[in-house]
Amino acid sequence: MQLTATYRDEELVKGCQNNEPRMQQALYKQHYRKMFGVCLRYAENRDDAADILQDGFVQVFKYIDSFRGGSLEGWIRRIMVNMAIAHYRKKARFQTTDIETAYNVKEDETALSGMSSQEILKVIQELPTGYRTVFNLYEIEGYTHPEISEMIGISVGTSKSQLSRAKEMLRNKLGVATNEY
Amino acid sequence: MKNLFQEQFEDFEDEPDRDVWAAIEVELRPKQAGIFAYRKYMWAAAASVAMLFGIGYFSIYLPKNQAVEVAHQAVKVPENEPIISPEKTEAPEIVASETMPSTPVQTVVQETVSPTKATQSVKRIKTADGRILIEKTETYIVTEKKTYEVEPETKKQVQVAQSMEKQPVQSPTLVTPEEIKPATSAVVAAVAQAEQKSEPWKVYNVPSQASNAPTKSVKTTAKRQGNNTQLDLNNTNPVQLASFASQQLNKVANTPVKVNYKENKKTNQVKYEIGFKDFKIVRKVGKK
Repeated sequence: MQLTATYRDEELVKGCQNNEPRMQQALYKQHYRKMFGVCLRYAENRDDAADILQDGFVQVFKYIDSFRGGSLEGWIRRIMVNMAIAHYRKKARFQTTDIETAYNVKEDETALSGMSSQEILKVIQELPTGYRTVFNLYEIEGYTHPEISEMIGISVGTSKSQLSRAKEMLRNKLGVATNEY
Repeated sequence: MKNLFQEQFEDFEDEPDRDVWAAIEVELRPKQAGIFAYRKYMWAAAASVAMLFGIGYFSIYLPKNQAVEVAHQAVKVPENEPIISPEKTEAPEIVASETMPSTPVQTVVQETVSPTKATQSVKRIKTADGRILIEKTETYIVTEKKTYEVEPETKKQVQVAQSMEKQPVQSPTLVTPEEIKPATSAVVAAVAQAEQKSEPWKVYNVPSQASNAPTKSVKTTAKRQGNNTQLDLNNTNPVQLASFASQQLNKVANTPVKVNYKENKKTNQVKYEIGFKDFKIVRKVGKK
């Protein structure tokens, strides 16, 4: 898709609020690649990510009137994350684990060194839906466990245990992946 | 690790494998995008609409026309066809003496039955210049019931009983046995000879202009003035046939009836033919 003229966020928002097809397409063109990257982290595969991207942008244009300033990209990103959560809410099977039994995983940053984003993304996509969602929300989006528990509809303890298990699995997978390189 | 993941995906971008924007447009503007997206189904939609109009026409408009058609017949026919007219009837019972075959038979032949009913509706139409037009529609549904009973051979007579249901009985159209006898006796005598080898009777329509010479004909069920005369000729024995002929003679007493009995010696085939005013019945017996 060819990139056309870049518009300021205010212009895009105003045009979309006036339901102008040209401005809606411009907003999509300016943000869809980055948002697709977000969707990829939450999805199991690229096809699912495209579905989330499509539903997310439909919501963006539908609720553009509720945008109250600030970062347009951040607002769209939150919609994409919410859409991803909604997309996998039915499939997600968040395993309940008491906070006391949660793993206290030691972080091994060296495992990520030398790996491309696509390689890391592939490992993240291999995580179970619940683990992957909590990991994305906490580690990358920066949400807290109380926020995550409210967003997904799980307890704070479950959110923490999901994160711990996700990290453990990633460490094992990334370790294997690292050893292969 | 947290910061490392964030840094890793902070500027991460990728291109979808399909045209997501086209799908978004369809959702945003279903009317415009939908028409083009489903253009290939437009012919099917048009055909469906046409078919619906057709069904509506045949189910609503045609039945009315058919009712009117029957009404016309009811008005026109009484002179020659008293049975069809709701105002006139024919003889409730006609008895004719005949020589019958040896086999005792007890049969009943029934014809179509349905109630007689006439309706009238008046529709007022106001024109642009203030005048009021009155459109009157009269609909007649003509019905008849006829029952023919044939007594056993021992009584040696053909008894034709005709009854009209829900209609007043008036003076019958008299037909003397002498008028019936030449036709029916010839048929009965001829058919009785070949009765052991029954062949199906066929009914042919005869054009009204050639009613006295039923040569060219079309294979069909017997029809008289738009009413179906239902008689299973394939299972008709000579007595029934005589009864049928008598009945038809009664209806068309002033019309000559032609009875043919032809024997083809080359084909060894016998052909029995009874011609009535507007139809004939034919039966071929033997091998070609």
